[in-house]
Amino acid sequence: MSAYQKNLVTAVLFVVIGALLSWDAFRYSYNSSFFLRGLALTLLGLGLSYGLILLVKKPSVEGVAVEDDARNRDMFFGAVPAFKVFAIVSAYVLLLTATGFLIATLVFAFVGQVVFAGEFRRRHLAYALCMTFVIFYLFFEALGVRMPAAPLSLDPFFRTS
Amino acid sequence: MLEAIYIGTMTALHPAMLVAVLFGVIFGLFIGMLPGLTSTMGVALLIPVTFSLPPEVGLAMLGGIYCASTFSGSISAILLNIPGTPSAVATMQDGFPMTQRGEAGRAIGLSVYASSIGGLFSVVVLLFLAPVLSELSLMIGTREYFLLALFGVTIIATLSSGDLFKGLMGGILGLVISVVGMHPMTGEMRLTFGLPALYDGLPVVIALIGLYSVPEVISILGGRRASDESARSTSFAGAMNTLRDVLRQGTNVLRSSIIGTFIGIVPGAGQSIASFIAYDAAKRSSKDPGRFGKGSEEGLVAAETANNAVTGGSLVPLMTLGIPGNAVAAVLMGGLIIHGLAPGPALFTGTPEVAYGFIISLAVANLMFVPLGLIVARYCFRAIMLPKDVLAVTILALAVVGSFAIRGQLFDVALMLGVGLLGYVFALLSISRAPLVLGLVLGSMAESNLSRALMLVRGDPWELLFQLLTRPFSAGLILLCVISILFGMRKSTKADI
Repeated sequence: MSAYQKNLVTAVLFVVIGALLSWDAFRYSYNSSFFLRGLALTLLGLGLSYGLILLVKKPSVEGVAVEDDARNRDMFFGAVPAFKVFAIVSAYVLLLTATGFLIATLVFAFVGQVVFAGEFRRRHLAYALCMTFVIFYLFFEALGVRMPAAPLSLDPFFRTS
Repeated sequence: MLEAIYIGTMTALHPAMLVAVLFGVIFGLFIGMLPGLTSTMGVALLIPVTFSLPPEVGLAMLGGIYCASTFSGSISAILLNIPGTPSAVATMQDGFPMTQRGEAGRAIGLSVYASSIGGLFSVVVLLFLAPVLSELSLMIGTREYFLLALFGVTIIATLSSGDLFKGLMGGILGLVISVVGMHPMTGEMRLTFGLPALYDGLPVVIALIGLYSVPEVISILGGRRASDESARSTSFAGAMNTLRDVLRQGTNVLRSSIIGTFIGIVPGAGQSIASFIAYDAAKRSSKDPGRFGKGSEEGLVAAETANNAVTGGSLVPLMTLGIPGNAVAAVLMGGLIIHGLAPGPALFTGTPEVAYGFIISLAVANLMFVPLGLIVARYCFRAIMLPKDVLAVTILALAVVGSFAIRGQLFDVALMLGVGLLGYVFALLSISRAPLVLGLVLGSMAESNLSRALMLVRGDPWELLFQLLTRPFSAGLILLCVISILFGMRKSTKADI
């Protein structure tokens, strides 16, 4: 995607967000939403103005084509790790609700390293164990952060307080 | 007064006080570095520990946490592009590019010395000018607060890094996100989608964690950290020799210290606003503004000096009037009350050893975190040498636990992930995230004060405008806003050309 195309997508994105926000903002009472209405309409106006300016100042086809190749490759390589990150963290959150911090973090840290590295190494397991217990004792024991409750949690067995 | 300062100095230099400050500084350094844990949380966590200590010792420990955690937010911001505290976002604009350039040690060194000087400046102000400045803070009403927030919004042009339209739209989206939840005056819920967890709005720290940590992990895994190799090949040796470079920027340091201290005195304004305003002022007066956002030492020094200068400033209204300047000062006020001390003028006259001992101990803390900060940063520096898979899971695990720690809700982790997706889209479309953060920080302040100001004039906007133009302080702020907008437009026109 060229810089021009990115800018165009940005303009369309903000027009859509601005339109949705404007529609929603006018559903609330005036006293609660005059600020929000102003922001939503400004966002819509800016998005439209930006889009129009971009359409008027359209760059030459050659200029766009030069940078297309490298950028498309960048986007492709960025999308794969992004998918991995969102999938693994979402699974981690779901696991936290079921198994508590220790099991979920251990699984997340181990699987995460294997998936991100693309291969299994023994150090992945060792680091997963170390990281899980360091965070557990630092946050939940030393700093007293409340732990996520879960039906299959082993966390209480490892608490010192 | 000099006698009281002498008593305070003797109290602050007592071995028990020094040990308390040392403990507070070490604890604060770790708290500030970890995403999700803020200065406020650090001070609140140690208040129970101070119960059994004499009041001056307990307060010295809390002051140590406050000063050190304010600085150490910059460590993760500089090394990993993930701000430890909200006030480190401005630092990150130039700190991380320096790391990518192989100058991480130098960036940390500049940050630690600038923070220390900013903190010391504000302590001197607190010591000698507190009563005068506290009167000034009483002159600031809802109208001026709104204008202060508006002035903050005008800084977006500086943070837009090239494309003013994108910066403005990002900033306004930040303002919109900040008004999610209950309206401060009417109590009506807005943009909550019926989710009770959003009734109190989106906590800024959760937004920051998602906005910066998730895209950064994707960037690390995608192998698109442009100067990864140069970052790895860098040494930490440069950190020690940067004091002279900070002192060479005398005007920048003085201006940022004054901005930070002034913003600190204004109750509710906060460190993030101070660091952004100081960053903006440094860029405007720089001979080389084009370097800002690409590893400018001036930008880094300005942001770091200002956010630590807030520490002393925020204690001016607390110690002289009993009004806390920010959330940390409010928790410190709780600490004072628990020890049977009433914040206000009586604190200085009735218990000078506690009041002045506390102020001098803040100066000690600002000096103490220099060597300790450099030592801690030296070990943290190794984080950038870790294999990518290890670094990625560590950042993600800390992001998840940090988001959960704020309110103890797993929903906040999902929220962090959602904001992370937004951050990723912003990164893909080359939209700067800093204006969004600025909008997030300023939004609720702008809305609540505009609502209050309008209520005072029975909803008549023309009457409000008349009052804004006729009150000297607010008229001055309007002038600042106009100058800021004109400067931004001029800069944008130059960039187009």
